Amino acid sequence: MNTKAFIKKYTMVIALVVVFILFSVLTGGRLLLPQNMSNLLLQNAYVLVMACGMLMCILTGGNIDLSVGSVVCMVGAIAAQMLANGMPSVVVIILCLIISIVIGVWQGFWIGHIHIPPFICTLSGMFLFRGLGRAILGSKTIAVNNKTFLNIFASYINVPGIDGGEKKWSAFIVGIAVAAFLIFNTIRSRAAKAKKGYKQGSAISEFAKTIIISVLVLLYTWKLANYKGIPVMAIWILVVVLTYAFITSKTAFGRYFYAVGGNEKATKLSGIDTNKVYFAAYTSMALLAGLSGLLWAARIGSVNGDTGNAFEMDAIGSCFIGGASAYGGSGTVSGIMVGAILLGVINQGMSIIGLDNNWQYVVKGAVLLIAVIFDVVSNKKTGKAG
Amino acid sequence: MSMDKRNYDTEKRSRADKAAVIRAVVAGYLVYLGFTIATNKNTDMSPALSRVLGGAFIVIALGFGFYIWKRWRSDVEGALLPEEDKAEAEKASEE
Repeated sequence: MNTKAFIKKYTMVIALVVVFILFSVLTGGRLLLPQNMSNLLLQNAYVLVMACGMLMCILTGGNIDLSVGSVVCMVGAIAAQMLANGMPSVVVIILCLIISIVIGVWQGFWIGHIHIPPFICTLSGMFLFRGLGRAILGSKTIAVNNKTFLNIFASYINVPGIDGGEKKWSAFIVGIAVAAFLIFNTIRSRAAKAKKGYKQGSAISEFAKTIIISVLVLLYTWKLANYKGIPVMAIWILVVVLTYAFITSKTAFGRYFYAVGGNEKATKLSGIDTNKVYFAAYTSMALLAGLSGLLWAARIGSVNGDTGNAFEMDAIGSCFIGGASAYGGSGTVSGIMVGAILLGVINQGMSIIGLDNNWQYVVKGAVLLIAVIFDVVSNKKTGKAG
Repeated sequence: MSMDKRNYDTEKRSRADKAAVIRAVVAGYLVYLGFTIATNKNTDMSPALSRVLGGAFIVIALGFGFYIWKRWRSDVEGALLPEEDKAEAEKASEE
């Protein structure tokens, strides 16, 4: 792979590295402190989770879900009210996830089966669910302080006998296990391909990539070990991300989303029920928005009428920064994770520096402008709308 | 308002509309950011600079809005069916 092709393929990863180094310098190394590295994950948990669902919507042809921020508010409000009324936290979590699915079924039905444009349907959902959320809260802020609920979403993993001291060794042990698995998997996959006579990429570049990722995993888990260990929220994020990565890259059902985004008519003619694909995309989006509502409520410790404001823009922004196409049919879970982490590093870096909030808006807008310029320039190259 | 009687490839037309909507959301968000920057009172930034930066965002967003309209027009033109397909589409709609 030549330099040009490498830069084109890894533009966002390079941008992430540059932004990370820039903020590490600007913050005088404070961004790299174990507490900040742990917070980077926790503060962006809702974006990482919702971006997976948004990717499924965008894949179906550049459709977006504008209601996710309001669903976060409504589900968070329901959870906070039920917990305040003394309901068991496990029952609350199950009920909230069921309610999220019901919201998704409602939107998926109108979009998938009645063919209401997703923009209109989710825009109405944005107002409807925000209003319902505020009504449930009674225009008040409700605190979430149920211990079991907080343990399920916002605690840290502490293994007795290993994590007793200052260092939480379990986090680093997990890091070593993940790094070993990644290296073993690369060796196994190359050996299997060689056995079958498949054409393979350069061994040096593949191993270099695996080693870089493994080193990053080790460094990150070392940072976590030096703070409070692995946050439970990381497990939730990992489950969602791995599930969606598996669905989109390894299953026929996942391929349907790309097919619908690529050419809906051809997909329909090949016997795939496109209505069901739309339905599934919006149902899964609402489920993940509901889960994000629970994660956010546990992280912040309270829910109010403004909870989830502009969350949809974070999720949509992560997808586009991560390489999902406005026309649908392309985009990967790993790409949107890079987009979400890039946004997270920028937000966290600005907070640590203590940048004035107006400058924070300027930086956010500038990032969006880069995406806009990229959109315009790439279309000029293809000779459209010039 | 007169109805558009031209025949389009529904697939391409739908994609053009959806892409325009997404871009419009981004442009709308830029306008929102610009407005927030220009009117934000809880800031150390000088009011003049706030207005200049906020105004710049709004102007860029409007420029992007113009581009969105041009791009949408171009995509919709690209979705027009050729004459032979048009005859077939009309025949199908009569049936």
